[in-house]
Amino acid sequence: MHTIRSRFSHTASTIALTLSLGACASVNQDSAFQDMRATLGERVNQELVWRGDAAADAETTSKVDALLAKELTLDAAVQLALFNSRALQARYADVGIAKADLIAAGLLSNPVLDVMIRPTTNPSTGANLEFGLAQSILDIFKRPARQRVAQAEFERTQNDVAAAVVGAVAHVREAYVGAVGALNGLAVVKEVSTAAVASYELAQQFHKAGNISDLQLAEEQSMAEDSAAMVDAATLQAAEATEALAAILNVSPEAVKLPSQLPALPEQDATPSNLETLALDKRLDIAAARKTVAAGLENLKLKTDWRLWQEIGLSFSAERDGDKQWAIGPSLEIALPLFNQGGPDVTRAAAELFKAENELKDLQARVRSEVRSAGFKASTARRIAERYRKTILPLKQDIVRLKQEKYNYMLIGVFDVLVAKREETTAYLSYIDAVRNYWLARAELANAIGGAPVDTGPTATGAQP
Amino acid sequence: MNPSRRNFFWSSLTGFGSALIGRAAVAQDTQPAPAASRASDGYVPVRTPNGVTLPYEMKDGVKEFHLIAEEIEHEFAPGTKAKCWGYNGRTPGPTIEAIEGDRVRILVTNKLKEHTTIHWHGILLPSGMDGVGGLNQPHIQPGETYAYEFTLRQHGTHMYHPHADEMVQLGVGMMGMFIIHPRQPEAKLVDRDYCILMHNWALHPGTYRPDPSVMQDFDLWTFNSKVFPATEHLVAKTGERIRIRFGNLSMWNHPIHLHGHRFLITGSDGGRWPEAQWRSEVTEIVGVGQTRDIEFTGIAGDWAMHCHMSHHTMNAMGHDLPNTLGVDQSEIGMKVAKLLPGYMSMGENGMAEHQDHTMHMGGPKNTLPMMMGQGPFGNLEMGGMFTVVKIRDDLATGDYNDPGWYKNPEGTVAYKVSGPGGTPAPSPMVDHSQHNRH
Repeated sequence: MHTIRSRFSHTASTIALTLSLGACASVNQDSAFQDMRATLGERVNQELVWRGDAAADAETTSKVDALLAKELTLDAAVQLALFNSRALQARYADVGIAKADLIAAGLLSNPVLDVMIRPTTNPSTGANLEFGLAQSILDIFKRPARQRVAQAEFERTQNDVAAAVVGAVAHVREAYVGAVGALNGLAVVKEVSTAAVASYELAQQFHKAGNISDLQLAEEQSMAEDSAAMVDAATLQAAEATEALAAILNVSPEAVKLPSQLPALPEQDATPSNLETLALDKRLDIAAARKTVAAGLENLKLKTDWRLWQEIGLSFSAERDGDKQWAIGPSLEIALPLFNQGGPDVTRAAAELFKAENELKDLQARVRSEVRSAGFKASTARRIAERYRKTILPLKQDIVRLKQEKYNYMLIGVFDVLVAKREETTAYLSYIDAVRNYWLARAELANAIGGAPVDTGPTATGAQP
Repeated sequence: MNPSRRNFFWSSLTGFGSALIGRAAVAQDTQPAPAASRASDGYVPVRTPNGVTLPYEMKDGVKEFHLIAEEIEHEFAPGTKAKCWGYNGRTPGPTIEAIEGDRVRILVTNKLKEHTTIHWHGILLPSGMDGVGGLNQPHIQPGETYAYEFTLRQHGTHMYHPHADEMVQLGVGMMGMFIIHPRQPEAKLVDRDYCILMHNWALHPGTYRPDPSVMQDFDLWTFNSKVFPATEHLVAKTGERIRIRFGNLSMWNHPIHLHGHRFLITGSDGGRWPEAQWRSEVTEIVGVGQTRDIEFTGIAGDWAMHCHMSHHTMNAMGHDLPNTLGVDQSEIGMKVAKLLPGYMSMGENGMAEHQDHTMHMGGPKNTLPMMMGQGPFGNLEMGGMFTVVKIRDDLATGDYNDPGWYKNPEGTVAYKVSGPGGTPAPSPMVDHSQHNRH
């Protein structure tokens, strides 16, 4: 009894507060966005904007234009996407929606006014009138617990959205590296083709002089045509990659000025020693999964505490009978826990909690594996790219030089030298691929450990060996 | 250094080369002294251009020689050296020279890392002295010294070479000449007696060791293991009787052609032929494993002497080149040069330009240009088995020094009749004094 009474007195003050706040409780989208930005923290160093009003929108547009005016670096591409991606703006709205849900959870259900008029056939008496005001009491009692659940939900949404930002940054990096790599590759494929075409044109001269057969000419032409087909394929690849980047940046492909080469590999990779621990600490999906567990716990507690009390209603009613006397008095409605004692709700909440806990453990195991895999991929990608830069490309250049020396002494013909040149250029194509794979692997690793900065950042020079 | 001085330098240096290598037995190898044109023994000592003669010691009436088989570094011409195998620090090994009836003992020390033997090619001797490892004798193991001892029962131009792992040991330079003079002095003594041993080498461009597995695609063709322009010139005086003895231990036949003379084939490994068998020729094929002696009377001039297989007078060359003759590369050449900086189109009008190209365009390491040599009128465009026989009116007897280029008497050089600076078509009365202007 004591408990009930104290709950009632507490509830009374809550009602007063709620009523006073109720009218002005509207959602502030910007503050919800700032909460999300705080959650994101150092995972993304660049500026995030909420283009919620015309002023912010116009300001951001001018920033976008400034970024587009210059050659786009990897970091600038990320910043551009953060400014300009409408997908991200749409995602930010989720934080506002969750905030609205959170506020709604703090509000009481509105009281119900009940009016009854029963006219009589007896002219001597007036109509029978009845007024009632009913309020769900349980709603008031459950409010703090409900708010805790809603808070957990809200935080989870913040995590989700922040994780989406981290993911978007990784996608921008991938798309940028893909596009620059493809354009660089196209330029090199064109060089390969130039060598093949030069070889064929030479062969035509040899054929005209009567010095090589139709077969040899056809073979040279075939190589030249193959290389032209390679140029077509590389052109398509470059267009697709540029288009994919432009789509993420929400600009037209023509608006983007991309460098001709990928950034060179940094001298060393700044890779933190304990990647797995770092990932478990920084990953927002893990944080979100933890919040889901926390919310599940709150929900289970709520469902358990109030399992028997499905509904408690308190109402006041006033009635005027035929005698025109008013009768006034309170009434209480309680759903008796005879058939449903809240068991299914508790069972459901417990199962949901169990599910959330195991999903968290599963995610942690998968994240560890993902981080190990991404780390190995990144270190291997560096080794491959370095091998090309330090050993294979110089070797191919040496081979061309040494073959040219043989050509100078009439020990081999020019076709052999051009083949070596083509092979050198093809090796350069593989090198570009290796550099591209390196940056993709670094982006993947950064994403795998939750967006923590693992890159020393691209150096100013291009990937030219 | 001008070419004549260079050749003089090389011939002098090769004479002293063995002394520089510094082994006592080897240090005594010498060319015949210039004065010894007629020895008291009744023969003119043979001269091995770019080579030496092996000295001997008389021991109880036996001429004792000493050959040391070993790995050496050999220079084919300035710009190309290789690890070869030879005798007494050189390839070909020193020429052994003796007289019919001599008893000779030849000590052979093996400083190689595998066994060896020496076969005395064409010499009549006891079967056990014939040098076929496994057949006539045990192999001479590394570090061992064997003695071959026999009496010379013939005269003629002979050779020596290993008969153990013969393909390899011969392929990397182990060979030499063995000259036996007749006991009865020849009725017509020669004034100068030269010997040249021919060989082929698979020293692939850019490598430092001959490849013994090659059978046909050789890179270098040598007279006494030298290629032109490092081949020592042969020198004689006008009117002198000159003999050149050729031996062939290569894997091709070599038609040796001497310019400006008719020569007589006077002998072979079968010895000096009866005069009735002598033939007059200007080219004589010296077959694989054969020797030939040619004799002629010197006519003043600079006379080319070379193998007439034209590829054998080239240094390293490609055999799978696309044929560039008549191929107009003027436009496309510029495109190619963009891809290959330093590229130069060549061969449209012939390959003569190549000798000039190689003077400023780098080739593979340790590789000689295909065409080399300069004469008084320009590039010789030769290599390999090519040398010059220089015959002069004013040469002292027994002087083997390079006399420089021949000074053609006025009116005896081919002259230009049209083209820039040409002299009008001649009539019998025209003074040709300016014709050798060039």
